[in-house]
Formats: sequence, C-alpha cells, structure tokens
Amino acid sequence: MLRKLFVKDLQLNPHLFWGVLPFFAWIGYAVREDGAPVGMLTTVSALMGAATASTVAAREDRFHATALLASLPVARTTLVLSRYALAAAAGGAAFVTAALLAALLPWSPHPMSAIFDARSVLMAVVFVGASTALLLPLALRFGLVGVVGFFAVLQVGGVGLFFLSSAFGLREPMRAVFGGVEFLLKNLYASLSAPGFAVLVLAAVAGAGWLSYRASVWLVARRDL
Amino acid sequence: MTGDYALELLGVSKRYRGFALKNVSFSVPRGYVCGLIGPNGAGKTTIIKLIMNLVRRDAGEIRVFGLDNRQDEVAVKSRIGFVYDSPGFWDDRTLQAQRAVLGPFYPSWNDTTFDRLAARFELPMRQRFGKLSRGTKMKFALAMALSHDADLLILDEPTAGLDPVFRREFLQSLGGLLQDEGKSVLFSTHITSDLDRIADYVTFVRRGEIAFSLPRTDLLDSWGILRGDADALRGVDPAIVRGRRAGRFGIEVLVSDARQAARTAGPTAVVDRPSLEDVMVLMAGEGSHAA
Repeated sequence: MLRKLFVKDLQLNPHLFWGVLPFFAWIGYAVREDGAPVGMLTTVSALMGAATASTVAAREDRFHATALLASLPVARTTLVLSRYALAAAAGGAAFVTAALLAALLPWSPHPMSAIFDARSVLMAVVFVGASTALLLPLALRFGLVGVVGFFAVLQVGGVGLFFLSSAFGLREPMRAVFGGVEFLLKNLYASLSAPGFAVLVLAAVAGAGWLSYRASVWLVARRDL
Repeated sequence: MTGDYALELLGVSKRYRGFALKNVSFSVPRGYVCGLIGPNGAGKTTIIKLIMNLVRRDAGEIRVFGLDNRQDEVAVKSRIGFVYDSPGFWDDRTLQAQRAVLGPFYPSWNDTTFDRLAARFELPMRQRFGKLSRGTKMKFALAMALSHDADLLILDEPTAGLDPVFRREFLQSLGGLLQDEGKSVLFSTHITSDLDRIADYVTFVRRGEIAFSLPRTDLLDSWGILRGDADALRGVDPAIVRGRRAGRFGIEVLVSDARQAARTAGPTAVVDRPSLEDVMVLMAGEGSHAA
C-alpha cells in the first residue's frame, strides 16, 4: 500500500519534484568554486526534498482531496506513515542528487570523500528529521493553513525577536540571532565527529520523529473532514 | 444486526457546536436503494460522513455488510463506491492521470468497466479536473465509484446544482446501472423528485433526527394529505398527524394513515396522495409540527 501511495504522490504532484531542478542547476553552477559551502548546499537540498511531503498534504487540502483520500480503502495510519516515508525518501534523494552533482561534475574541485563524509550526512539527517517532525503534524492536521501558519509564526517570531532585541538595546539584533544560529550549527557540526554524541543526536532525531508520527496519527484520527 | 443489510446505523450521535445529530438509526437492505432526504442543514451529509468515517461518531454503531465501519475500515471502504457532494480530485491533473493512480487502491478495480463508463458518460479523459463543469465532475466521480465492483454506493447530493436535463440523464444512467447490477445505494438529496424513479426506501432527516424510514411505496400508499378548514379536520387523531401547514384556502395536514383520516375528518375535507416533496415540505416546512 505504501508503494501505491508513493506512486500517487509522485504522479499527482510531479511539478513539486521537477520544481527543484532549477535549484540543482544552481548547485551545479555554485560548486565550481573551491570555497563553495557544499555541506550547506546538500543539507538545504535535503530539507527542500523533505518539505515536499508537507506540500503534497497541503495541496490535497487545497483541492479538498483529503476526504477523497480518506474514503479510499487505506487505513489512516498508513496514510500518515506514507507522508513520513515520503519526507525521508525525498529528503534522501535530494541530498544524494546534490552530493553527486558536487562530486561528479567535471568543474567541481570537491572530492567525493569530503561531500559524503559522515558529519555532512548526519547534519542532513538532523535537519530533515527536525523539520519533518515539526511541520508534518501541522500539515496533516491543518492542511495548507498549517503549513502557511508554521512559516507565519516563524516570521512573526523573528520580527518579535528583532523588536525585543532592539528594546533591550542590542545592536544589530538580526546579526546576533543569525550569529547565534551559526554558532549552534558550527558546534553541532564539530561535535558530530564524536561517535557518542552522534549516536545521541541520532537517537534524539529518531525519538522526535516517532513522537511526531504518533502525534500525527492521533491528530489525523480526530480530524473531521 | 444481520448480514441481510448493506448498511445499519444504530443510535448514532454526533455533536458539533450549534448542531447535533441525535440517536440516528436506520438500515438499507441488500440490493435496495435508500433515499436520504431532508432540508439543507438537516444532517444528511454528516450521516454520510459518519458512515465513511470521515468524521468520528460520539456514540452508536455503524455496520456495513455486518462489519464495523471503524474497526474494519479498509475492508468496508473497499466495498463502498462513494460520490461526495463536491468531488475533491486534483484540479490540475487530468482525469486519465487520476484514474490511473487512484483505481489500483481498490482490489477489484476494473479498467474495462471504467472505460465503458467513461465512454458512456463522454468523459474528456485528457482534460484537467478543474476545467470540467460540475456535471462532468460528478460523472467522473460516479465512474470512479462504479468501477471497482462496489456492493454499496453512497451518493451525497450528486444532483445538486445540475441542470434538469443533465439531472435526468444522470439519474437514467444511475438507474440503468443499478438495474443491471443490483447494487445497494444510499442516495442523499433535497430534490425529492430524484427519488421518484429509483428509491425503494425513504429516510427523512430533520434537524439532526430521523423523522421516519419507510419503504417508498408504503409511504406514498398509506400516507395522505388532508385539505380542508379547521372544523373539517377537528376529528383527525393527532397521533397520525405528521405535519401541518396553513394556506390561503384552508389547512393542509400530512397524516400517516390516510384511510383513518378520511373516516374521521369532516365531509368537506379532501384526502390526496402525497408526493415525496409534499411530505418533505409539510414535515420540514414552516409551521409544521410532527406527531
């Protein structure tokens, strides 16, 4: 049944998957430079791929196809599971595509070993896992409103943080915020070289994913269509 | 509860803010067509959504061919052909693409049946769903619902918003299919004339409750509309009065026993055979007071 749900998502939402091609073309262009942030590019690609699972759910909501899907002979838990599987598969496929571009394009100076190193893969897994765990329950429960609402809250939160920082006399508050995020990411990336920490992070991501899946199943079962 | 019924609802309730479906019980025998009628907002769509488990019931039991609609959800849904009042398919995909993807979800999906229906309904398979008229969308939804050998068809207001010519054609197509294949059908509508040709049973929903569920012929043969002035209608047993309306030329009373009403009413009263529309208007209309 999961395979049928995959085929449905791919065939009824092809432009979502083709839509990332310009981004990959840009990656192909960007990796020509020695100092290109290949790790960041592959991670962002994985994030974009994983986000398609939420976009697919939002599109179904927009076309009022959610009720049609729920009327098919498929258990709701399977429908939910297919979304998580799609996020993982699309995120993984996008990561591999971006990494292969960076590794195999003749003008790319980046060696394969530097692109497919364990820490880069782990970073991508952390980002995909965290974003999917946060976004999918909202997309499955509230549809398009949930996805848009998530980004609206992020945006409003950012603006709020800006004003709050200004109120406390912090100079260049956005730089402080982004600087903080950068510091966290750099530390996370550096710490992932320690096997114990990497296992801990992976366990945390798996736990968050499992909790998110259970929450989605609970929310979807209670959603009146 | 037996296997003789395609569909059974027993004491089903659902509460929303401002609306409640209360203690709904009725059944559809195998091989019969049941019309679910009632005014807009009476609860017809909610009942259908409850059967399809699109909304969660607060209480009661729903069985489809003897199976619980929640515990045996996958088995139940594989036996149901469902047409929603506003069919939700992917607006920007062609009919062909959607048929190819959605059909295989049903174990008994039949491409030949679909092709036959698509030809009969003249479906433009290469067009995008969003570009179609409401009538053609309904035909596509019906073709999808009928192509997996469903034993029970659930049609929610399939004729609402269709022009009369198309509605007739749609009902003729449906009637022909039902006659050929002996399916059980639950057909919700507020256009009662839709049921005149095809319904075996009529279930009337009013303000979230089942007012009656009867064989159509029994209803139309035994019920009556009594017309006359107040004096002429005075002797009628209130227990058989199901609705009442005051008009410019007297009073109309819907009774559930036309013979008894004719015996007890005054000589100036007239008893007529009601249409389904009369029943609905008198039971749901302004000033009605059912027994």
